[in-house]
Amino acid sequence: MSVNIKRYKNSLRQTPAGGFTGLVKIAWRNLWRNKRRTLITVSSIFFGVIFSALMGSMQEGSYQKMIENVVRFYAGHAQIQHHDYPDHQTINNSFVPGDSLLKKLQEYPELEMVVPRLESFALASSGNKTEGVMVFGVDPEKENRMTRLSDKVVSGNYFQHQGAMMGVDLADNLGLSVGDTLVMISQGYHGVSAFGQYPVVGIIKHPNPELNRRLVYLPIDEAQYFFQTFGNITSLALVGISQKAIDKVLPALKKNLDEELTLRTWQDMFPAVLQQIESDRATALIMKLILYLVIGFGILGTVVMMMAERRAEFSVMVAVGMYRYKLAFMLLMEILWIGLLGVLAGFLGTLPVISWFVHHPVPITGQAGEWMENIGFEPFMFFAWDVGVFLQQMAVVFVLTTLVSFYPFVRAFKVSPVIGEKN
Amino acid sequence: MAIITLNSISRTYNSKQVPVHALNCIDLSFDEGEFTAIVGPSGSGKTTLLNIVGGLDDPDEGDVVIDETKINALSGNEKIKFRLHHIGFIFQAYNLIPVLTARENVEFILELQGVPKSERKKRSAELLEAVGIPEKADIRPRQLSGGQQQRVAVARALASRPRFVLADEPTANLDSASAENLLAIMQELNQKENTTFIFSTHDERVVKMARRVVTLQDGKIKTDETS
Repeated sequence: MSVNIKRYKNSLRQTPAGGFTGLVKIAWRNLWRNKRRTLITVSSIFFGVIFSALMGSMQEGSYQKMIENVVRFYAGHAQIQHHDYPDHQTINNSFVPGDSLLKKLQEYPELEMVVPRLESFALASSGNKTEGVMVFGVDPEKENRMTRLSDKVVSGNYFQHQGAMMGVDLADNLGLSVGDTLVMISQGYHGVSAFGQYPVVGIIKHPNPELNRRLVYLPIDEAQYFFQTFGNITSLALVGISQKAIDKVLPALKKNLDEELTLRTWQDMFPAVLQQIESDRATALIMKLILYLVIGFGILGTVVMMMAERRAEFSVMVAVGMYRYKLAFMLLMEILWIGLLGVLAGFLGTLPVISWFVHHPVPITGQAGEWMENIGFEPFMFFAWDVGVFLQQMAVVFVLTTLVSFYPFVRAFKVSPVIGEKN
Repeated sequence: MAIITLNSISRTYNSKQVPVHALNCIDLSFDEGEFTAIVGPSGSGKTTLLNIVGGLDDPDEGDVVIDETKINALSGNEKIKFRLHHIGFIFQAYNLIPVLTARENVEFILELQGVPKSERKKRSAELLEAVGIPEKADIRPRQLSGGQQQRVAVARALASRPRFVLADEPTANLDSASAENLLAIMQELNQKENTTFIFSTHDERVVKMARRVVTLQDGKIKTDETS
């Protein structure tokens, strides 16, 4: 008898295993046996992809806006500063942006703008009122290109080569308006006395209330004269055509700088923004995990029901000669078909929805909106058009579906060929 | 010559709680080309016997030898392969694959065997012709009557030219006319292709047509009569 079993086993090895193409076809057709159930499952994946992509897009949109606020409206992607300036931010740690440095910077097509600034502090007064102020010496034209400062002028005009602009709250506190004279005293370069008086040509309303209370803009020549720095600046803000572009040239830029200078990225200068983004990402991840769990268990519920309903069918398939691994393959295909349909539909659905939100940010009204304005943010929910985000969500939901498919896959290996017998 | 031999087969369900002795030391053999009905009251062990002969279930004791192969010694996958190549099954509830047409249901077994497409088509057409429903080849089971579905099931069971066909109450869900037609078809195939048919049944019409009738009672053979 053992000889016969051996002979039979050998014959099994010689028989080709067929039927996989047919199984893919059966799996596809099985989807449409219970159209309503399939559509509900596909819909749950569809909405899962849309919601998670929408969430991701909103998240990335708010980060991009936050970074843009920092980069485009204040710091630039990076700044060249005197080596000692980061630790001791005094006017004594300023530097002369030499022609060779400016020429070198012009060689990088990745750099869109190079904007010089001279920043220090002073006492501003009018009549018997005095306020401590931040003095920003800027190139009016370049600064406006970078920060669109002229948009913030609420009274008077954007300055050209003379005069001062000041924050709206500072003007109120000092009782100044356009045409009045602002008087400032300070300590200039290497301790010289700084004194100056400037006609107020414009009053600006900055989104950041602290800046509204403290900010005075002077044309950079005036500021250099005021602080007696004569050509020195405290920073050279660099704005790249994109974050990616600037990241590419940063190493070369760093390498080519003189020893007395240093290059600091916005991440170096504003680590709190980066930390906030990271912590927000972690919170959003928890929300997404909850969403994924809901989607995952939704699919699993359908799959468990489907397995229970079709137990007899699976038993017959195994009874008539279908290997359990082929049955497992067929079930895997069914779930993957569902996953693929849901994910693709979700992707196609995501594009117009997110496109709409990218072009129509959601306004935040009421106290929340006011609060956002007060901390310097535009009161809108911004969405990012980031294909990476969509693809990531599609991939996660598809992986989730694949994980769920392990259930029928494993159960298939336990199917009894006896109809009605529990596996 | 016996192609199936059952030696001292016993099968007990629920052995740890309230044991039910479905089969109790059965010795039985079936010759090639037989047309046998296994009869007996509900719970007498008919389906269990067919399941064990078909390698769907294993006996607790005894051996099932088919064509000199002890099938209860085969592994799970070997049994599946054995069934695919040697045994045809017909079930009471037809159990066709609902998403496949009649032709595809017949071809399904052949596809699992890796038979080329042209050969599959030829064989399925032959069989659907033989069971009298060639015009229903491209119709799915839910659009067929019970009798037509059972004919497709017969064609499927014979697709791989098995040595024998096991049919569990094949006429139970059919009206008289359909049942008689089906039995006539199976008898013709039995005679033409010398395929062994073993039925479990309550149906008197099947019993009348069978050349051998094995009666089970309480898991034991009560009578074994050949006409």
